[in-house]
Amino acid sequence: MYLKSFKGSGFRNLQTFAAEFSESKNLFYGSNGSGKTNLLEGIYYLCIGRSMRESAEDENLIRLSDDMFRLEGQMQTQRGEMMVESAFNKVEKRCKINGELQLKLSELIGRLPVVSLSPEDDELCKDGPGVRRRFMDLAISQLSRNYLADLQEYRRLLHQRNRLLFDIREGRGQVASLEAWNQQLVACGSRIINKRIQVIDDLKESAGSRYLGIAGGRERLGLRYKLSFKSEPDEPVEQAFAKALAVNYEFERRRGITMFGPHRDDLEISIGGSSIRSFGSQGQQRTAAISLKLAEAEMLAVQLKEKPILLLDEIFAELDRERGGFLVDQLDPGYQVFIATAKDQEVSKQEGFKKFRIEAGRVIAE
Amino acid sequence: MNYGSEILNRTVDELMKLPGIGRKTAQRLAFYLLKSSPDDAEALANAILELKQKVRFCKQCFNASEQDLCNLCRDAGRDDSIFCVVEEVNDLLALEKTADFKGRYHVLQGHLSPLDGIGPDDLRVRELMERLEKIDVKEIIMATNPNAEGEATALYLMKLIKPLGIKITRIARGLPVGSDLEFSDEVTLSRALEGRQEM
Ligand SMILES: [Zn+2]
Repeated sequence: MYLKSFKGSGFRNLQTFAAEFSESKNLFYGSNGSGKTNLLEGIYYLCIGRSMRESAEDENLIRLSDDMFRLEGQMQTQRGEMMVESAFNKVEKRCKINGELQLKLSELIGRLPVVSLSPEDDELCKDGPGVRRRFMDLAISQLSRNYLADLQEYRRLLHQRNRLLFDIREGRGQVASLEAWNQQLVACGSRIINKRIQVIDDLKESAGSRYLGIAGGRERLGLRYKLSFKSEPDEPVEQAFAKALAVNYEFERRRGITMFGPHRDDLEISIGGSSIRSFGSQGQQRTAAISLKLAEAEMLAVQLKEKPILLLDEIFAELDRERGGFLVDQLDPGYQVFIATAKDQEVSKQEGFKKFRIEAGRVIAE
Repeated sequence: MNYGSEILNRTVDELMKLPGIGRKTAQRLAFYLLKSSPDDAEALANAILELKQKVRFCKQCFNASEQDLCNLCRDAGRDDSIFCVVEEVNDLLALEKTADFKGRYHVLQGHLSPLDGIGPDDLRVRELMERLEKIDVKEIIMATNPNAEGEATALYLMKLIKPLGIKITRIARGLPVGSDLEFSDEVTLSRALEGRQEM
């Protein structure tokens, strides 16, 4: 899939723009704060219906002097041309595909696959388990709408069950009805966990070889899904999950909150067998994050039969020259790539790119 | 908010107490009523008053009724051995329209939802159990909504009823997920009834 042309107004600090892109490699360059990352964010928003920065609410995306933003892109997909429009006016969010208003944003997810990579992704290897769960959930949601529906249902069940546990602790809730929520939480939660385990299994090998490709040497990247509850070898997830809730009822009641399930699980990332979070160097963490994201892109391409758009923000930063060079070489042809960089010396060096200079919010094609 | 008339303010406030009605819609309705003919407004006001005075819930199944027992409970031609449990009167009406079900109903008047402070004691569960003790029921169809709350309600009741040795079936998932029974079309509902599964 690729984005042929892109128009927008009122988005972040960008002036009204219209750009025609190369179907393979595009480069945005400009100083920090010029708006090149915002342009990447705009492309991401067009594909997913939200920002890749978790904290960015739609409200924050509107240019200060404007009341609304509009984005419009012409996509070429395996199934033909697609015209996508997104707009937000502080009250209402609208998305149209080929002129048809989409009632649910979830309709968008998976149709226009996209993978973004920025220095902030290092948090995958540095921060708590929440970012890694989010990584898995976003990747799998693009693959499977059922998974997205399960996530939404699980969130609802979790809220209900947490409230009931809290009420029981406070002497208001009826213990007799807890089982009804347990059964559903276990069924829905186990579907989520099983899908994550399967996907991590799929990602393991390609992320590993990506890592070797970029880092060189013999360090091996390991991925393992880590459950928040005990399970015997070969024990079905559903059974272990149900047992954990039964055995730990007193513990959960005292806490007044659900302590086990996919919302508490983690993805363990290791280098040469030791935890990357505790022992990895900055370079290793960065390389591992990049490898994971590239493996994600490859998985989406294979399973959706549609190559995702790659958005790479400041990939040359923090990576030494050699690793950065490896990375560009690693990118398979056939992906449409957008790279944003502030490093002037990289710009003249990169060949085969369609280049755009971004200057104080203006997008200027070279 | 002040609309320049105390009566108008009050009308908007009252309308906003209705489910699913926000300030904007309440305003629109109030201004619509203001412009409508006196006859229409009076007919609406009278219907609401009469509704409260004359319509109540059936003592047995909690369907809406103008008498102690609703017309379905009074109908001697219906099958006493099969019960259908629904959340609201709307769901009962939707099932009745299919004309496939000839048994008795029980309206729970809600579903389990800890977030809304609704537990088993807030539903017509005790009344259901009392009915089941008195009548020889062979099968119960759980036709609660196919969402998290409806499912929890069905699972809770199933555990409660199982010791009585009554066959329990759940209405099949022929219904689109997330949709309420009230909105599903009649064909889907007919199929859902045919395809019910034992729990
Ligand atoms: Zn009745």
